[in-house]
Amino acid sequence: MTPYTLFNNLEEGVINEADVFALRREIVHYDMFYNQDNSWRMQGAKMNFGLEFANGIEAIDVKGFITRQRPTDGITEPERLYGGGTLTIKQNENLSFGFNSVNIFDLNETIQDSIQYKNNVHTFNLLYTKQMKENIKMGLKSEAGMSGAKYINYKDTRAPESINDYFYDVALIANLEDKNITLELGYKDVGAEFLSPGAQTKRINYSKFPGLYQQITNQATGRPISYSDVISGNTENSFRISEELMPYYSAYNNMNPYGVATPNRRGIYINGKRTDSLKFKNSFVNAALMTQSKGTGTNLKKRFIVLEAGTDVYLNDFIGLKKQLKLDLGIRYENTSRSGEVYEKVNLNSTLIDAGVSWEFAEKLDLLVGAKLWVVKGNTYVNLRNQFNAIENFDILDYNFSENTYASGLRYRFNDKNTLTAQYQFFDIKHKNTTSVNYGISQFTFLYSLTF
Amino acid sequence: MKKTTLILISVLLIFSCRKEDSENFDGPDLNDLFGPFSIVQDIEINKNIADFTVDNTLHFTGELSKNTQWNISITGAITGATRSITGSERVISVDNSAWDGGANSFPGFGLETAYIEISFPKEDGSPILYDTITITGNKVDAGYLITSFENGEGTNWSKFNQTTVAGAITCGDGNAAKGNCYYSFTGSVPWDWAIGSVMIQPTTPTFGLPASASNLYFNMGFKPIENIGDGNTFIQFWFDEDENGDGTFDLATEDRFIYEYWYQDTGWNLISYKYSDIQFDTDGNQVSTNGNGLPEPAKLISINVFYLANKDNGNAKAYIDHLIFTTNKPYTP
Repeated sequence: MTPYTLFNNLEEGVINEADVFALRREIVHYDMFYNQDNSWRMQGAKMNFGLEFANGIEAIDVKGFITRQRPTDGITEPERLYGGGTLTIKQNENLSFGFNSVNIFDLNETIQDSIQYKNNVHTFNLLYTKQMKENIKMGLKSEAGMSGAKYINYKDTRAPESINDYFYDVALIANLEDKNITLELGYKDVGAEFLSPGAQTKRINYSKFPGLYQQITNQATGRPISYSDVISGNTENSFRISEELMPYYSAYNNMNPYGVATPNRRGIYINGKRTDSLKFKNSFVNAALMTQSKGTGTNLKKRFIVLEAGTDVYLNDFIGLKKQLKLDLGIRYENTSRSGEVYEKVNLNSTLIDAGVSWEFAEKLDLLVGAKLWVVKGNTYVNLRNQFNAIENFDILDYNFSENTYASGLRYRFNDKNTLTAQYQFFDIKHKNTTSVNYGISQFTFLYSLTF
Repeated sequence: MKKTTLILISVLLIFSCRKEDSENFDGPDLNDLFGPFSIVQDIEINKNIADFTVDNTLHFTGELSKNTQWNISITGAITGATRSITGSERVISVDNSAWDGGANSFPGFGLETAYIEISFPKEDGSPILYDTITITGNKVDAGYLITSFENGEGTNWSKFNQTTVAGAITCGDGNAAKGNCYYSFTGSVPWDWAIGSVMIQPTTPTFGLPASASNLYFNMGFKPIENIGDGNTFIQFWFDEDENGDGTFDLATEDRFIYEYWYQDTGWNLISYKYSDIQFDTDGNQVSTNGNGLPEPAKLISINVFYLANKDNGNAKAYIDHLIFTTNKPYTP
């Protein structure tokens, strides 16, 4: 479905990732059923059908699903279902629009108590394109909708009766077909109380300790999640939609911790992508300037700037090698700021450099090298929410660290779906303040991957 | 098709008209959580001489730089009575700092000087402010005062004291729960738990209490001093009701409800319970009486306060004070 209704957002820290990291991440994704189409794995029923018309409308596609979000415990938690669907109308090759709806609801007959939770998200999306010149296609891409959550008969006095809000996301698109370039200039406004669990659930729960080496130092200090844990799948990952906005790690992503549908964000964005060229492939440049649509803890609003760029450079084409020598480059810079009094000020910079080389130095045998370098410095406040998604307090965070992950290895490709990899990964985190512990973890991994 | 596109774009434009919300924000105020603390407007009392019989209340005014917890502590110089007023609002005013002259518990304030201390416990390094007031008139209690022992023994009262026990009203030593006087029992009774009692009876046919027992509370101050400890001392109340209205109580045909209050703590204990509850024992069962079994305060003609203590523990000593009925809620000193 759409990024505002039901969408399994990619975790933080992937910006044109090197193959040596992607190999391990793919295993984690496969293991967690995180599909490439950003869908969630659910158990239930679904139906699809399409209608084609001779006149007026070209086609109508209808998709629907119903799943069990949570079984009842028979005492306090009613059976919770999650269902929805899309109705897409394709007027012609240039115009299509659709209606999307996802709904969480409780079956209140499944327990004696009468509490009920409901969350409904309804959106419209539109895609209109027009051939302006021979090789230039322009258009409008947009989605707008609303959410409503209800807490019925909850005894907890903090439970609101209902929370309603809306969003819109409108972008002009241009496709320079002869240059394989796509440009997108958009503006979006996602309300502070727009709640779409299907699109806002995070893959990783950053409030939990990693699965391995939970304590470090002789004082048995708790070890927070590092990016090495994310790569290795050594984190607590989500298997189901979360009705609550999950904790996030502001050092990695502050602007869109809950994906495109992150609530309380408004601003402009521009995305450029060049899908193919002779020596550079998958090049992209993205920029966004967002603010909060409603202040948190103060009337002053946070401002977010994100710059992203990446490309795959095929060095073999530069130097005339027959076998592939590819350089993956990616960079993401994020700045979060807020002016005001000393206790209101926020200034956080986070930079991720993602780089790697894969070189087929012998037939089907690749040398893989990669590095992920995070540099994070500054302060911010993170919302601490209750189970009804209301902000109850703020966590003051002051970062000044570099977190680097290096990996190298060899990969033998028996075929496209059958590979054997041996790799060494080293990670270290160095804090420049005195209160946090510097440490590192080394791993040596044999990875045999057979996909079928 | 152009029409369709125009309609859809129009819908999107309508959506884009979100009202700018710069007046509200989500979550608690950062200023309250992390902002610097200061006293923007001095905290003052609206009067330094308080006659609560006339003025009813006094209050404080002032303004802080943030919403933070503040405690106002008022302590009687003679009685040691205390009253705490707490809040967390930035603006201190009559709405959140009014004081009616009452105390948190017994003892109550007398005609005395009271010391005031204002503190901000969550603000490190914040000042503690001090002031004093003079109380020239005590608060008037809402309720039906049976006696506070201020006017001596009533003409219809009867007392029982073991031969080794002194039971009498004592005044002027600063030990009263309320006012200047209280009733004291003291003595050693090695042969019996019964120490002494005072049966309080009105000069009028009844105490003039309302008919309904369901919203009427009986209250009394009790201060065990010697022969204390769990299971060692208690007060027994006898409530005698003249059901036939002949001006006398007949135990054989009328209700005597007995209620016991066992030792809980040293210091002045405020005994409060709903009058309608005296028809039940501690297990919730209906007690046996010889009348209709219904608590009827309008027919109450006698309250006997009976002090008992463990005969094996030597001298027993306790004070009682301020018997008062209140409506709808327990008494607040």
